[in-house]
Formats: sequence, C-alpha cells, structure tokens
Amino acid sequence: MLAAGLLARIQTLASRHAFRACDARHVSDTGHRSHLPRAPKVASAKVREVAMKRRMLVSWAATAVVAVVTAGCGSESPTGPAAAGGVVVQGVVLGKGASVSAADTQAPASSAKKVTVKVEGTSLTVDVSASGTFQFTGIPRGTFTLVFLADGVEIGRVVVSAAEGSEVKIVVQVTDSTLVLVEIKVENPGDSEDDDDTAGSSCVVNGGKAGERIELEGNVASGSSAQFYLTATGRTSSDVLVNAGSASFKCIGSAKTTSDSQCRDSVRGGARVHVRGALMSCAPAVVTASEVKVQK
Amino acid sequence: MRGGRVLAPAAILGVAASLADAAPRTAAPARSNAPGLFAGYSHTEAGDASLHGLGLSGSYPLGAALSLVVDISGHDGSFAGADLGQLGLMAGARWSPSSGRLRPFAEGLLGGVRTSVSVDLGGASISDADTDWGLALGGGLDYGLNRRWALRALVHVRLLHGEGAWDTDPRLAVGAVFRLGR
Repeated sequence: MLAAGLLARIQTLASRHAFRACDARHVSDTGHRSHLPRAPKVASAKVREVAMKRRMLVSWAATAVVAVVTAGCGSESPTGPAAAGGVVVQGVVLGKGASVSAADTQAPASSAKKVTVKVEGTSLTVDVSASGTFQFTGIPRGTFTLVFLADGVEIGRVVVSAAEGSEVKIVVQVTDSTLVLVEIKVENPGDSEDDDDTAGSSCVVNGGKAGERIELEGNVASGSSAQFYLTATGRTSSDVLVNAGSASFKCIGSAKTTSDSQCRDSVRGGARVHVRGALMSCAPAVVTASEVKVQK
Repeated sequence: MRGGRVLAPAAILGVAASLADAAPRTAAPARSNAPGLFAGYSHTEAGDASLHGLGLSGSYPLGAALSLVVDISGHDGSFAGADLGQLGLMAGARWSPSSGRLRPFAEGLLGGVRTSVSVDLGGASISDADTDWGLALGGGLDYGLNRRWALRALVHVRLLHGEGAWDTDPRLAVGAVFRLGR
C-alpha cells in the first residue's frame, strides 16, 4: 500500500511536469502568451530544445526528490521529530538465528514474525523494520515499560527508568515465543564514554565486572534454557538472570544427553550448571551467556 | 536529521543542474548508449539506522535507451549500540532517453539485501544475519565530463521485505562513471 502510494505520488508529479513542458511548447509555438519578440525559426527551435532539456531536468530532479521525501515519510517514527524532548529509545531486535561468537553452530534463519513495540500506557507504537531496528522519541521521562509483540502476541516486557533527555539503547532477541534482553544502556545527558567505563568497572558480581566476561556456577532456580534464574555459588544476594537464548548447551557427566534439544530441556529448576558469558548489569545481575554446561 | 537526509539529494541534483547550465551547449560529448561502470559513495537508511558505504554498478546496453544494470552496494554503521552491515545485490533495467552531456535515467532493480547485526558484549559478541528481498526504484543524472568519464548522482527507493515487515529505505549515491567501448 505504501509502495502504491509512493508510485502514485511520483507519477502525479511526473505527469504534472510533463503537462507544463507541453504547455510551454504550445505557448512558444503560438506566441500568444509570450512577451518576448518572436525570434527567427531556427533560433526558436534551439531555444525550445534548450528549454525542453531544462524542464526535463527539473522534472527528473523533482521526481527523485519526491521519491526520497516520500520514502522518508514512510519510514518515519510515528512519534516524529515534533515530539522532541523526553526520552529517546533506539533498539535492535535480533532473530532466533542469532549466534554467540563462541557457539559451535549458527542457526540458518531468523524469525519471520512481525515484531511490534509499544510503550505501555501510551499510544506510542512502532513496527520493527526489516533490518531489525526501531526508534521512539518523546517518551515521557521516568519509568516506562516497553512491550514487545510478535504477530500481535505479547512475548516480553522491558521496564526502563530514564531521565529527561536520556537516550536508551536496547538490544533484544526474539525467539519463537520469548524475548531475551541482550543489552541495555541508558545514556544520560552529559555522560561521556569515560563515565560509562568508570560506571562499568565499579560494578562487580562474583568477581566479574559489568561489560566483561564472567563465569558462574550454581543451580537453576527457575526458568528454561532461553532464560533462567541462577542461584550462583558464593553469592548470597539475589539470583542472577541468565539470558541463554543464543548460547550453546553441553550436557556432561551424569547429565549427558543424546541431542541438543534434550540437553536444553534438562535446564530446569534444580539443575546444576556452569555458565560462561558476559555480565551485562549488576543490579539486577544479568548475564548474557555464550555457553551453558549442564552438569546434573 | 530527517530533513537533512531529504535535502541532501536535492542539493546534489541542484548542483548537477547548475553544472549542466554552465556547460557549453555545443560541446556535449554525445556518445551512444555504451557499457559503463560506476563507483562511488553510497548512503542508505536501514529502518532507523543511517549507513554509509560504497556503491558499484555496471551497465550493458540492450538498445538505444535501454540497459541491463547490475548494482552492488555495501554499507555499514551503528545503531543502538549494535554494528550493522548491509550488502546489496540487485539487477534490472535502466532507461536513459538522452545521449547528450546531461543524461537523466530511471531504473528498476530486483534483488536482495543481506543485513548483519552484531553486538559486542565485552567478552563475547552476538550476531545475526538475514536476507531481505525486494526491489529498488529510482533514477539519477549523469553529467558527461568527456567521452569516457561522467559524474553521477542517483537516488533509489528500496522496498525490502523481511521479518514480517516492509521497509521503504532511501538510498543515495554519488560518484564517477567510466564508459567502455568505442
């Protein structure tokens, strides 16, 4: 429908310019509306030729510009630039084919479901683009919830707290029916890269710093192979949320299974696991896993 | 930012038009439709992300005004902390009615665009790649410098389907054309 509208607008403009060009030729031929003295026929023909070339050029230029303008309108965020201020959210959605660099295999294709993101309690809604990006502008500051839907069915929520003028950068992964938070950064106005690094290094979980590699061992408290809470050995505070939608799974020792899917199914409450990945944040403690070894 | 994106092609086409006006009208290096190679800077939007890169294309004449076109483009950039790369391969037809110094053209191409996304998580990285299929419609202007070389500005609107969604992404390229043949 958008494509049809785009073509219609281009065709309308092109035909309008074509009409003007023909009209100009007619005027020049008859001289009825011309205020210039009539030139000899040969010179007049050259003038007409040059005028036609120029009009043709203008027509092409205008058509091309309108094509870009129309395309820009088509992919515009519904919040629009007029809604400047508030909080900006930029996001990337990875499909189920996403792989972690340490993984042995890579699934061939990503989800073909249409993903939509809403800001709960507002009318702000965007469709995730074919390239996996989305953007909101003008979200009121404070705490808000991003609701992710795949083909209209809710698959997950992310609660964000951000100050006025903040920019939230979020990366999630959508599998068949689940949402995995891969990364989230809230950049406040005036923050610099150095500030971010300092903040990361001051935050430690079980010896691992935020943004760096971490290895944890413990028991699965709840959840499934895509996402589970881990009661980590040596940690007395809250459980660690492990996003393992993109991780490779290995079942070893007494937990050994014959297939990858059986191994994934064995990740349930009480399972003993060793997790290798990256620590995304400390409060709450979130780890994106690249490898999960199920021990029993 | 959106305004700038829209004004950029207009400015480039305006400059091309000025050059055309300034050119001596009797010295047009008229050449018939000849095979040509194009290379230049290319900018595109991938959903909400702005990507920059290189555009390459080759054309082979099928008639006085019609050519077969193969277009390859590579872009990259970052968005929301993720690195995006896009490789496009499209082929189709170009119609160029003029053979003078200034040659406007229109073209329609079919093909695919492979988009890869990678997120660096410090110790590990997550990557995803997906191919979207679609078409590109657009046109541009060649300004002949001599019998072999020309400057080109072109605008495409790429209609791509993937992940259950249709994207309407503009693409702009400027560069040089080398004409082959006699």
